[in-house]
Amino acid sequence: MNERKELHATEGHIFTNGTVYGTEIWLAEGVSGEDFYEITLEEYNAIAESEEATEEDYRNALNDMGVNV
Amino acid sequence: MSIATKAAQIAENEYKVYEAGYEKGKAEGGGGDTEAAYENGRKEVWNAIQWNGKRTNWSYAFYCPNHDNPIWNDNTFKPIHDIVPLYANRMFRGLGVTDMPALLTKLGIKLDFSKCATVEYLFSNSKALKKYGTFNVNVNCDCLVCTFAECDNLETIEAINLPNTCYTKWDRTFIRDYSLKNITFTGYGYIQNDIVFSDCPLSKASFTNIFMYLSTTATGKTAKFNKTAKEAAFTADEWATLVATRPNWTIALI
Repeated sequence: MNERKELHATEGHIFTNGTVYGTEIWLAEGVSGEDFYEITLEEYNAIAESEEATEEDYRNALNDMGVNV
Repeated sequence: MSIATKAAQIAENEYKVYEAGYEKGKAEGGGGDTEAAYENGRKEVWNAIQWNGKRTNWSYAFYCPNHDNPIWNDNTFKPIHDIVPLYANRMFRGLGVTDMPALLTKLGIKLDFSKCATVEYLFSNSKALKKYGTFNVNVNCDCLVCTFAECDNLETIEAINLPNTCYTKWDRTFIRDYSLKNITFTGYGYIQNDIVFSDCPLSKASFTNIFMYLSTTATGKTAKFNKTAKEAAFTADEWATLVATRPNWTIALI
């Protein structure tokens, strides 16, 4: 069985490889973890907010049409 | 016509049919607020909305733009025929119904999405919804995009039934479901793609069920959970045992 790596972020930080995010991560067998790095919680929240743009755009479009959402 | 305009227009039109039909039916029934008059109005309304039971395209049909005061709620959503959509994009977005299985039982009708491949934002922003019954995933459904997203008070989804050879994606399906404790996957299919429950205070039983339904053969996939919920449900040893059952999955807590 391949080794399975665990990542545990330091306080106030989150691990990511650009697509997967977690304070604690159990990597699938065979995944090296080399491309994972820590970011701050603030950086993570900023990324999460930017990914909400699609739904916010929809809400804005409805508001522009006078539909209260 | 933009999607936003179309959505608002469909919602407005459905409610105008409701109001007109109700008044007409009430008048034909002799007027007044008797139960018979109401039922007369109700049949008139819902035969029109449901095309006498033949309607299959339900996209935006019960879309409630104002999810703080939804026009479709426990008092107004009273169909008389089964609803089996083929298209249901944003069908119930912003819905005001609180307990869908109880309401459907009371009405004696079924709501079945097993034939429906488009369920984007189906129940999204339904702030009143606390309970949903069985959701049958269509085998051709590519992605449950935000299907139950932002249902702040949704506590229970009784069953998400996965068909055999189900490869649906789970794009923000349960995002901001801050009350979702109970969810049960059923059926012969498996979860084959990334799935996220990082906003959900899942119960121990729900965690266990989800793990049981993570595919044992998928590769390169991630399941993400809420760390606080995990710590409330499991000891470290119990969690390690559970995670070990799916070595082919990356499991993340946030």
